Amino acid sequence: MAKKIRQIAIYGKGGIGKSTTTQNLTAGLAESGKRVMVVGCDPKADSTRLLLGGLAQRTVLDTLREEGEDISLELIMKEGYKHIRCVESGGPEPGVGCAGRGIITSIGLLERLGAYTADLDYVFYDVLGDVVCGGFAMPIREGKAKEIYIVASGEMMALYAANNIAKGIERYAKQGGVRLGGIICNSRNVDRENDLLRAFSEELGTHLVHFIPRDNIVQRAEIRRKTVIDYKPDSNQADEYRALAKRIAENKKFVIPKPMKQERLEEILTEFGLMVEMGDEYAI
Amino acid sequence: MPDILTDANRFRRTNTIVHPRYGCAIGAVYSVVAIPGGVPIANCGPGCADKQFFMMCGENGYQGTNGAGAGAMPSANVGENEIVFGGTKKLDALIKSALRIMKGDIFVVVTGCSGELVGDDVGSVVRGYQRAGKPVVFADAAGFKGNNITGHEIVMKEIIDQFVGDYKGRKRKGLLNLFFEVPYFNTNWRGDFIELKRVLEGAGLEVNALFGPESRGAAEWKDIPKAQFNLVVSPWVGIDTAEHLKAKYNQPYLHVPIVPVGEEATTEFIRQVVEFAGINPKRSEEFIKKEAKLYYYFLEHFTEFFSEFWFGLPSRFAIASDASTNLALTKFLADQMGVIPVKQIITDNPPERFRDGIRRLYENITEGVSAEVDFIEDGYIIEHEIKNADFAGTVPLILGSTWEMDVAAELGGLLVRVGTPNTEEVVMNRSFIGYRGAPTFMERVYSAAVSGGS
Amino acid sequence: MARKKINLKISSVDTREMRLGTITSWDGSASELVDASRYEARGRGRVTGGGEADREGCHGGGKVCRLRELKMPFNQQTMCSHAIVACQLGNLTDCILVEHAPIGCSASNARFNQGFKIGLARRGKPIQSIQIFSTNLKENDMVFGASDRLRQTVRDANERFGPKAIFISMSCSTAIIGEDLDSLAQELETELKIPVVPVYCEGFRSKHWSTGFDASQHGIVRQIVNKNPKKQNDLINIVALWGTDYFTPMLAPLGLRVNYMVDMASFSELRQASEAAATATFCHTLGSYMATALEEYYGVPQIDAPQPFGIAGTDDWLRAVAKAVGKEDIIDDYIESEHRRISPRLEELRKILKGVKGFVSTGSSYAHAMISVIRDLGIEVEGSIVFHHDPVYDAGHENQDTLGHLVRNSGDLAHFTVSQTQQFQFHGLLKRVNPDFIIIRHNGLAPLAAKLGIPSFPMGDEHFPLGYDGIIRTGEALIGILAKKKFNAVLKRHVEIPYTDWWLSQEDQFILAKHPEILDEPDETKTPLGADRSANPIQMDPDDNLSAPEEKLRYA
Repeated sequence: MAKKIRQIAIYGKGGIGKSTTTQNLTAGLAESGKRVMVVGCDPKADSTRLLLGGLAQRTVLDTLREEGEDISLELIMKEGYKHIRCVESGGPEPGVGCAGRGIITSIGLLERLGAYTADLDYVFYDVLGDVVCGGFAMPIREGKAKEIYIVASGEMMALYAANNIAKGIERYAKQGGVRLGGIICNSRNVDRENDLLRAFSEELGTHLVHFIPRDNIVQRAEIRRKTVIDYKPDSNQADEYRALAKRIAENKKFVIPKPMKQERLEEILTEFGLMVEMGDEYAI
Repeated sequence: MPDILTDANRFRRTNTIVHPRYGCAIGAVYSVVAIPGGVPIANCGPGCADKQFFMMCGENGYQGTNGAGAGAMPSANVGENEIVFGGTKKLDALIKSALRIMKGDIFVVVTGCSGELVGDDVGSVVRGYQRAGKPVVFADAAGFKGNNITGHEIVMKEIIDQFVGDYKGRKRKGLLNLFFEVPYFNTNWRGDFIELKRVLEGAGLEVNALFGPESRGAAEWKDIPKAQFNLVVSPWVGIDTAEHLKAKYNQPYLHVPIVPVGEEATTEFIRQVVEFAGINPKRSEEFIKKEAKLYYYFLEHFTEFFSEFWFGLPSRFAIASDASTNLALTKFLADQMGVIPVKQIITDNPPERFRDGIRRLYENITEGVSAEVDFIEDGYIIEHEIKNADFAGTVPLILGSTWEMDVAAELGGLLVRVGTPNTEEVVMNRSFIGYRGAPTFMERVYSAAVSGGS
Repeated sequence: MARKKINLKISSVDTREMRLGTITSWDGSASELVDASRYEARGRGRVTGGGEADREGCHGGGKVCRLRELKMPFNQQTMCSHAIVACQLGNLTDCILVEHAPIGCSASNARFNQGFKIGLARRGKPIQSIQIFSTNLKENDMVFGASDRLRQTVRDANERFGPKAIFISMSCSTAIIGEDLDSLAQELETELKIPVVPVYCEGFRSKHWSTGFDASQHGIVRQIVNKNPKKQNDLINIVALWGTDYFTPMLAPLGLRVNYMVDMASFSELRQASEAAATATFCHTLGSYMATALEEYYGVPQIDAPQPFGIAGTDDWLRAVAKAVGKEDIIDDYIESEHRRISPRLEELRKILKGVKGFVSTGSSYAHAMISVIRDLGIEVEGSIVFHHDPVYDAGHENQDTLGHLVRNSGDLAHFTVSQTQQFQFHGLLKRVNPDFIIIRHNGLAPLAAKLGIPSFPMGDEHFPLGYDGIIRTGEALIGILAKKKFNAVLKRHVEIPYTDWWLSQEDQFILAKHPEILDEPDETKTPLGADRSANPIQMDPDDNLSAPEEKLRYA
């Protein structure tokens, strides 16, 4: 019997480091010999930059706009680091059209063009921010991603967003088979961050998959348009991403999350001294 | 046991609609067509305007259309590209070419679901044309905002605000703006507009009909602010527009909720309007006298049949139609013909705030007779309610639409089509209202009776 | 395993433009379009899913032989795929269609009700009204999601009618807000224990409404047909619409029973589609998807022939049917006796109709058939509008190339136009050929022709011209149609048409696709804003409005 493709969606608040985490993580998986496809579902279209290095990638939607409906797969899918297949959904200009619909259109097109080949081990969807509308929920629907990981940090807005995403997952979990695989902490060096994220994960009924420490090497690699694994394979940070990849590969804990009520979330945040920082966070 | 539960479920009122009796807000493209020289630009998906054509004029007495209606109607036919990337560029090209290709005095961009959901900035496109002096107006009429009546009022308001514009001049005594039936949607609207305008002019008033064969089109719309007052002849449609005009041009309005049918109601209507206008009643009274004479000439002839017919005439009736038709015909049958109302169903979804007022109009609709009214839009439930109405073993008279054919057949009743849609009659210049329309309505009802509805 | 042409793995159908390279805007001669379409090359290359096929050069929507389209800035209303699904899946006798949409998407139900009832009468089935359900969505449902509305309406449909299956159609609005039809359908299928079929036919998805046929058929083949078929060797599927049952008498001599799909069919009739000996259709535009899906997934062969219209088409079609069901021994005699039978009246009709010019404007492959029928009656046809063009049909079977068959058997057409019911072009396109009548099926064009003095023959019963007898029937009916010119002459004398003199003076009806900049030239023909039209009431000399002053139109 053919093995099943593990389809994984990575959600998280905008700017949290989702794309960086996804690319480093998939680099780790590819390094261990896995066949991976990454589908960027963020109108910014920066979900595969590090995997592709200098390669210019045309987004699905731009191609669709310019070429019309009869696109071939080669036009929109490029191979990057260790043969990772990279696709960017792209989106309309800010303030026009409908980015959510754009994601639906793109994933529909990928299916039709036969992008989901049987030799794939993993497909990752890197999805912008919240599940703000039906379009952004597309990757977690029936038949698409069944595993979700949420990237978060010890900042209030990141946790708010994570809780909201958990609500979206809960909703879809009831109808389809989608489950939360865990929380990934992309550290911001906030006080007691690890404890906070563990407490938060537990409250959601899931677990902290991995705590990725903050390291400037990530930024240095990004300047060179590389993942850390590609840029400095023997660095500590590279090992951290390898560890994350391993944990995800071996993860068996998939749950329907129990999103918190507003009051409970605020309690936890107050307990860890985050509520007072609210104003500052908004300023960022 | 489960059957009882299922039965209750079957007739539960939910969001569901089967056998629809109206279109959606984008159906207001036909309000634009009804203005002579009006060109709608349907800024919506392919199929939207075409579907409205069927509900409003294609399958509604086969009225057909003219000018920029039906196959002539400009439409953006929005595709996937416009959804994802926005549709204003395509719309701009469409407006620009429509202005050159279509004859017309006023162009109204009516935006449907897709443009509104993706948030196209239609206003910014249209304002460019307005600044260049082009007669282009835009109206947001997404189907999810409501039915074609909602759309009708949205379009009227936008034309007033963007095309008619500000006015500081004098008002003309005796000139009124008529807010009446919804063009195309009300199957007999053309005939009804002609009759009501005839009646009002006969009484010595000047009428901006705004829609239909006797409107002067865009120029007449420009004259709206010059009118002494607005006349709303409908239980609820047009009141919001009249309120808007009151605020905008300081124009008072007279609301006549029941469309007059027959001599007595029409005469009373004329006197009410003449009094409100404060014009000399000499001319109107002469007109009334002449019309009444003609009316009763026919009624006297009709009496031989009505009082001596051996084989039975309907004594009880149910009606399922829009509020305006429903009230007008219920009143006429109950008050003038002595037919007992047993089930009155209003199908055009008047907003909640108007419903109590409408209900009150059915109380004592004629001396000693009150009718209960129900507001239902789902055809399945409507048909069920008619089936369960108490016709006391008599042959049911059912005033309804095409969709009542099944229940009428099941009950062995007489179906007279007064509502939308209507696929069994070809309607041209027909009216059931005023002095001249009432006998036509009687012809329909009693022809059905003498022919057994066949 | 060989890749299939039809992709049943995913619940949404591939659009026609993707599968076949369908276009909606083109102008030239019929033979030019035949050449550009490269039917055979496309037929060989056509497999689903782009990608690999692209390298072969010329698949359905492949770039290499993509047909050049004329994109006009101006468009008029057309139909949409959603409406097509309503008049297919909404016209089943014991299944229910739920339209997940605001109420306006159900606004043509009265029209479909009428067609359904007439169709039932034509097929001798009990008359019933359509029962299409709408979820009747409002603004709040757009903002907060409409899934609960759908659940409610599907349950209502189930409780009220106990249908054998429920189809759910997607609309523009529900597609934009991203309603998850797949999951909802699965959930409701489990709950109700009947097939619940999602149908992706939102109007904006395809530039041509005929994708709606494919969407309906996609759902039927995926979820309704018997997956363990027991062959019925005397059963032939006919993919059809509402037409009178002329197929049964035509196929009875071959010992075949007809299984009509989709309109007026019951659940069990749809279900047995996979058991048939063969699939055929009166129109490849309509039937190509279903026939190919049944062929690829259930081994039901499709008839490799053009359509059974006109003498040559009917000959070829009958021979192909006979071949598919092993009746080749009797077919030549049958055909010959039919030719003899119709010949006397056909000769008379040809004399009566001598010198008459016709124009056909219908759906794509049906137009090819209509042209052959009236040419067989001796009518001259030099112009036609088809509402789209499929350069190839799904299977790519060579003998199905209907336009090629037309040109090869009865000659070229000088003016062959692809344009979706665009009325504003119709005046100019008619002017090129000056026909005495037009054949139509869709609304939108005939009223304009009527005002120009040209009567129309609405081929409402699409089977009417079928086979040998259909040619005679059509000829007899045409005599009545031509008599209606009296009415059209009255209209022409008194009624104006809604287009400006500037536009009517354009020779090239696609000029704006080639030179959009002419729209920017100063416009002196318009009445300025707010000018009082009351002084210039709309009572015009009709001739002045039909064409540019220097070039008055004269229709016969």
